[in-house]
Parts: sequence; C-alpha cells; structure tokens
Amino acid sequence: MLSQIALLIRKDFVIDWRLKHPFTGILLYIASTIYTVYLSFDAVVTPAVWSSLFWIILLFIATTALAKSFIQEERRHLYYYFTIKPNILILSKLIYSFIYLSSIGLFGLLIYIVLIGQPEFSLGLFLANFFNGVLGLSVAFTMIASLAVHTAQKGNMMAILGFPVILPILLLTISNSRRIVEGGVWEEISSFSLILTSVNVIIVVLTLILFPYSWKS
Amino acid sequence: MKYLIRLSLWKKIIIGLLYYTVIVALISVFARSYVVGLFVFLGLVPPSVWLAMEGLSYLLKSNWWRWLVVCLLIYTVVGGLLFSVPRLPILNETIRNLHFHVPMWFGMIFLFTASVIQAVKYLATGNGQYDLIGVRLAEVGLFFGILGLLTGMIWANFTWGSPWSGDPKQNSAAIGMLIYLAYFVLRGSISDEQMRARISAVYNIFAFAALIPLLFILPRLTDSLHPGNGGNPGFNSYDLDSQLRLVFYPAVLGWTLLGFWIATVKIRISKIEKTREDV
Repeated sequence: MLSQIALLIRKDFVIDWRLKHPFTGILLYIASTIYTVYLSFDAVVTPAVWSSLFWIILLFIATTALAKSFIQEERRHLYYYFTIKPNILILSKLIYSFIYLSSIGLFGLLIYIVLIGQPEFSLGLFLANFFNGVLGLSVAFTMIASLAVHTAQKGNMMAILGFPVILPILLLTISNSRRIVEGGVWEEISSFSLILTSVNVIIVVLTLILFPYSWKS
Repeated sequence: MKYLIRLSLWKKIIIGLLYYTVIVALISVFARSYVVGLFVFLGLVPPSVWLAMEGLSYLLKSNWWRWLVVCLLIYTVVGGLLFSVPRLPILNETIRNLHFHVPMWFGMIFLFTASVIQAVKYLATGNGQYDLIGVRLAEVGLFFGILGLLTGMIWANFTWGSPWSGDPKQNSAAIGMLIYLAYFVLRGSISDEQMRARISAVYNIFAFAALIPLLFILPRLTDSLHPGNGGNPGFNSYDLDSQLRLVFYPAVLGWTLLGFWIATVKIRISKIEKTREDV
C-alpha cells in the first residue's frame, strides 16, 4: 500500500516536472498577484493587513492550483478504477497537494517578504501556523476538486463550493497569523492552533471516508 | 487499514464521531469555552437522528402532531407577546424576540442534521428516495436560516443600532447560508440524476462538518454582542422564575416541528411529481 502511494505521488511529480507549464504558471500567477498588491498598496502596510492579505492571496492561488488535481486525471479515470483502491488514490493526492501548495506558498512568502517587507515576528511560529493552514487548504480543496470535476462549470465550482467550506479554517489561520505577526508568543495561539489542527483532522478523516463515494461513477 | 475500508458507512461515521469527540476532549483541557459549543451540538444530535431515521416516516403518516404544532404556535405568539418579561436595560421589550428568533436556529440545525443523515442513508443504500427527502429538508433548513437572520437583523436594529454589526454569530450564520446555497448551485450544475444525488450527498456531509465549528465553536472563542456572550447577561442569569422558559421551550418545539411539517408537505409534492414524471 505504501509503495502504491509513493508511486502515485512520484507519478504526479513526474507529470508536473515534465509539463512544467502548470507549475511555473502558478508561480508566475502568485508572483504577479503579489506585484499587483505591491503596486496598489504604496503606503505602509500594517501587520494585521500584511498577514490577512497573504492568506487571501494564498486562498485564490489554492483554488486555481488544486483544481487541476482531478481534472488532469480524467483520461486515466477508468484505469485507476480497476487498478487501485480509492483510499490509496486520495491519500496520495492529499500528500501531493500538500507538498505542492506549501512549496508554492513558501515561494509566495519569499516574494511577499522581499516586495512588501516583513514585520517583526517569530518566523518559526509563523511557519508552523503556515503549514497548519496550508494542510487545511490543500485537503479541503482537493476534496472539492474531486466533486467539482463532475460538474458542468469546473472552474467556477471550485470557488463556489470551496470558499464556504474553507472559511472556518481560513478564519482560524488568519487570526492566528495576525497574533503572531503582531508579536504574539506560543501561549497566545496554542488553543486556536489545536482547534485548527482538530478541524484539519476532521476534514482529512471525512475526505478519506467520503472520497470513495464521489469517485465511483 | 484494510479492515477500516471494509467497514460499513455507518460504522465509519461512528468511528469518525468518536475520533472527533476524543480530539475535542483533549482540546477542551486547553480551551474551556470550546466544551460548551460541543455539548450544545451533541445534545442536538440524538433528536435529529431520531427525526431523520424513524420520526420522519412517522411524521409523514400521522396527523395529530400538526394540531400540536398549531396549539404550540398559537401559545407562543399569544404568550410570547403578552406574558410579563424581565425588565432589562437596552433589551426592554425586544427580549420577546427570544421566542421568534432563537427557535429558527434550532429548527435550522435540526433540519440540516436530518438532511445530512438522509445523505448518509443515500450513500449507504443508493435509494433515490433519501436524496429527495434530504434536499427538501435542506431547503426548509435554509429557509429557517434566512428567517433567523432576518428576525435577528430587525432585532439588532433596535438594540445594537444597526442591522449588521459583523458580530461573530451573524458572520457564522451568513457563511452557513452560503454553504447551503452552494449545495443548491452544485445540484443545479450536474445533469445526471444519480451523479447529482451522490455528489451533492458527499458535499452535504462535508460542508456540514465545516458548519459545526462555524456555528458552535468559533463564535464562543471571540466576544459576541449577543445576550449571554462576552459579558452580556443571557436569559439563564436573570430569568430566575422561568417566565421566559415557559414560552421558550414550547416555542422551540413548535417552530422546529413546523419546519418538519413544511418539509413533509414538500416531500409529498415532490414524490407525486416524480411519479408523474416516471409515468
């Protein structure tokens, strides 16, 4: 089972490596979005705005970046259906989209800090919260992508279905990251972080339970 | 892992809930306010499960409870408007909104939970009947949610000074409405009937899981303008001689059952329509 998961992750990686344009396209997308933000906010950005803006940019990037995770599999649908269990497929997709979105997010964070500047805060804490939030974003959007692929307007459905579901995760992440950016310490955000983690766990468990039903068609 | 995949859906859901409870129990050690929301939710689950499993088919067949609803609602309107209420600053007479605003949320949660249970039953059996019932329940639940927002906004206009103050509970309720509106958009965008039923059932369960922290946990973590939150007195603290409770509990029962009444009528109509289409 583990070898199957590793193989599927490797396959996704190889596809992205060979095609190049989807991944570089997303990187360009996030870079140009941040540049637009940089040009439009020429005044000083307060720490609270800084962190909220970053997460909103990441939300929109995630909608576009993870929409492909099942659209690109349409031709292989039948092949997977006969060869592997849906739980293995979704697990590999979740792991891959987490790695995918966090690398895009880290790249975005780098440009964001270079262009817009960095308030004084503890980077380790910010990154811990970053990975926690990205886990929720990537899992929820991967599940939504598996639903949206069956609908008539795939692109719009990602946003329509995804945003309301992602909001609890996003609100917790943004409030955490605002506290960190405003100079908070671990004690101030520990309970919120644990709640965020538990919401993530619920979403992961539900995705594993529900995906087999959305998959068979 | 192999064993887990083979389990029936019901057992998986139960395992999921256990998992959820264990995690929340662990967290409650760190954050006390979290517990309140969870217990409110867990208290609401058994009656909704009953209503969706056994109760709904019983409600569809029997008639006496409709008379009960009529009596309860007449009592709620008369008692809610005429009985004496505690005198409180700012709230004054608007405290009577307790009998008309809060029961809408109870009704909405019961209807949504029942709808999710129908979705689970649909996924477990593949019987189109459950899909049809689940959609009607969600429709009425959404209607109750909108009524809850409207009654709250009218009330807030008099007590808080403006209909929308960005209160955490208002925001959560609005997001909840968005989730179920998205559910109906999703249903509209899939033409194949079986596919529509399955995908929307999956989304219904998934979105409901996101709605629970939104409605029961997040508002309790931040200060709210609502009575009973953020240092404002709730009705538990001043309703010492249970004047409000005398009307409030019958009101919750009456409005919730009214929701199920509307839903049963809608279910019957859509069953007739479906039979006519098939013929």
